[in-house]
Amino acid sequence: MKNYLSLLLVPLVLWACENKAYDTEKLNKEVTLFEKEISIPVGNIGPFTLEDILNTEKLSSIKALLGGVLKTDSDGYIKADTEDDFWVINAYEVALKVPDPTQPFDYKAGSNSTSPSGLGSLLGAFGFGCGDQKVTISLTSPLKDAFNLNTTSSITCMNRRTYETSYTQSVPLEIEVPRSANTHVLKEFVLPDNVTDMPSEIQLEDVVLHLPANLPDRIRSSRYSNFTFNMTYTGYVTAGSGVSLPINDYIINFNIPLESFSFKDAQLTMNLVSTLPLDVTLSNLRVMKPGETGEQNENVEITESVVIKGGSPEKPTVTPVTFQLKAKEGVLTDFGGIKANITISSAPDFAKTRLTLKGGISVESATATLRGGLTIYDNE
Amino acid sequence: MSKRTLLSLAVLVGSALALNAQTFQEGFYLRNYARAYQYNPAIIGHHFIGAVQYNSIIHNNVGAGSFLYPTADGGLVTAFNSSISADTFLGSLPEYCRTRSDIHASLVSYGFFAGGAFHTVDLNVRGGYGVSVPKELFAFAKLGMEGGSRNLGNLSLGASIMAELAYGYARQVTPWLSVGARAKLLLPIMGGRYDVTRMNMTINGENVALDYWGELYLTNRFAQIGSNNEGYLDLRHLSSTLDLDYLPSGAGLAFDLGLVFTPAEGLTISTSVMDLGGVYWFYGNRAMSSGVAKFEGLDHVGMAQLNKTALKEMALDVGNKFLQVLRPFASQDKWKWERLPLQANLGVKYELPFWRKLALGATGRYLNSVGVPYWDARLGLEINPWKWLDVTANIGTGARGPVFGAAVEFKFHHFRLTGGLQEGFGGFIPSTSTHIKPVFRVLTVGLTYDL
Repeated sequence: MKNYLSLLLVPLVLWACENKAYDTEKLNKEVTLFEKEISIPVGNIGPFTLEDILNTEKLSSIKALLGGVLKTDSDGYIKADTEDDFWVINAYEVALKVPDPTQPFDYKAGSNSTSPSGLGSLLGAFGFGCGDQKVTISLTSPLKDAFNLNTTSSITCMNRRTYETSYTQSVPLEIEVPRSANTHVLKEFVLPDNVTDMPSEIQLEDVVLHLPANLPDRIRSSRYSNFTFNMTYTGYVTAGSGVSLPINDYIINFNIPLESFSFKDAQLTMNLVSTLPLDVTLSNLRVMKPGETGEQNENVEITESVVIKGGSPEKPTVTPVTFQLKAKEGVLTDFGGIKANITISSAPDFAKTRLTLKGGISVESATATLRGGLTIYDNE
Repeated sequence: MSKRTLLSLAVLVGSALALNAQTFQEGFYLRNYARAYQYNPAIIGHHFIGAVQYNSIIHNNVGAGSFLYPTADGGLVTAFNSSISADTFLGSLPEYCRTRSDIHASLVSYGFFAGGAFHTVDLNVRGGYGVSVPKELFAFAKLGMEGGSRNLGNLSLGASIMAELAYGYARQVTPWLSVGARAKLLLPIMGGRYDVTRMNMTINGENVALDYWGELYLTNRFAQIGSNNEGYLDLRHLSSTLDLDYLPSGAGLAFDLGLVFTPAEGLTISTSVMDLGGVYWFYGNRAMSSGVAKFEGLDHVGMAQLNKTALKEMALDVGNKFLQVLRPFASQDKWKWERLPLQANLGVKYELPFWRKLALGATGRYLNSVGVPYWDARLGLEINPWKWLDVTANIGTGARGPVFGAAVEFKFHHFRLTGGLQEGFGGFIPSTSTHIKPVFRVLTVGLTYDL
């Protein structure tokens, strides 16, 4: 019935006719939403800890080098403890040199030195320092009797980059070693706070052992017959003042499949909170196209560089940062990731701050803002 | 927002969705249109029986032309294309974009004389649906957030169908005056509506928040929707309640009143008011969605969680949090009063004394849908060259712009076939009946038999 009527009223219906300009067959379905601006909270991410950073491919070699030597305490602070039985003197061999075994004998043992393995060189080479350093020299005695010992104990610290002596201390010692002494402390050096270089040499000079008569009879047993000089070093790795670790062309893959979407101007603002006592500089930031080629997207302007200031767990540093991505012409359609040169360097105010694997950088109050709209294409 | 304001908004929106009255104005011009009493109950007709009348009404206060734009190169883009400015798009929209589509079907009509008066009885069915969308929703999609928050509420959609049993009475009280009235008993059969009275969205750098209040109303005379253990509506728990004893879903009453003046020969002045009244709907299925959902950003997501799978799960969690606010929580059934849109008509026609087969006239109409008020004024003419043919046409202007209308009645033997169209100018989208401009469109087809 409706169709019949339509025919009857054709002349009038022609007045309200089909408007060919609105033929939906030729409709372009591309739309751009939120043309002015829209911001959303991204929130808090991280922290990205020192441990996470060391786990990255580019720094894995450093981690491998240090991993065998460095330890951490319960709070994650990196320790550089080491221990060394650096001088062993067999009592029976000494007994052979006694001119008159029935008389007490002053044995001039000579001098010897040690250092906390090659760790100091390694840390120094990378620019790290040490703090809360303590060196303990001890002696284990095989004798059933107490005896006196004279020596001059000294410690020297050296800057591994300049090879200049940064600290030295020499102390004459006259010690009574108890009978059957086990790691009896001869000298404990506690290095001042301002000494950040690891000891390069710990020395015992002109050691004289004032031994009793009938030495062979005074030795505890054939198993425990050595005078053993032990050096124990404890210290914490600090940020130091000479760190400069460059990582060039580091790629952060986002793999954002924009596909049917594109945008003109995106901004990411955030506060970077650092408890890592090292400055991290991101420079020469470039946006990459998707794919394995690592080709740069030339149509994108991005924030050139960002410096994240170092801090500490006790005194975190907040660095407000803005990353801006803007299309030079048209819209951004390809987004494979960001390539940057990263430099980790010493933070001047935190040279003496201990390094902890749990320290790192957190992203707080991050906000993403889109300007100019989000364009959605019709892929048909 | 206070309860009072909420209630007012609900009534406002609800009225916009109510069914429109019969609006075949051309029936006033047609000399022997049997159902002219449906335009003015004071019009005294003739003895007849009517089998079918189909009446469809489309009322939009926004046309497709606000959403589609031809380009200079012969193409077509949407309003959200970057080539269309926000001012152009949003400037073309009213504060609330509303569309309403109704169908009135007269199943049986009977007109007869008795006791010096003209009586009519009709059994009709009315049905329709409507949608109301706030302009702010489109502004949000086009522009994003300005100032960080927008009120996207006052969104609604509804559909209903009801039966109508009408009795009309008209009497010639003086040689130049007839009065009439029509009482309509309205019996709701099925209906449903969803009203979002509050949808405050906040999207800024600090948080994404949704403050939502929506109400669902559904009649339950055919099915009762159950709820799950948590009290939310669950379509899996649907029980059939079809029981004719419990039909209809409410009741309503409306009146049409009219006067017809014939102060001189050939001159007719008509005035009428239609659909004074409303309907009490019983919504046996009722639910409310309300709450506040907030997202304030990721909460110290670690390196291990910065992967596609974990981020996707987090996004789903956030999405579910917002969807939770939209879930309908079963609520108590409710009786709800819905006023019918009032219509007032004024018409005058004059049969030319030198040729009575030709009449000139003017009509005016005002339709108070509250949410979508409408008026038009037209000049018309009618010609009845032969007894079996009566044609009328009119042109004028109204709330939606220029309008025109036409109707024709054929009589063969005792049958009368009537058809009419009221339309606005502006055209429609090819191969569709979608109007490019806002429109009030009425299409009428009917068949009667003179007794």
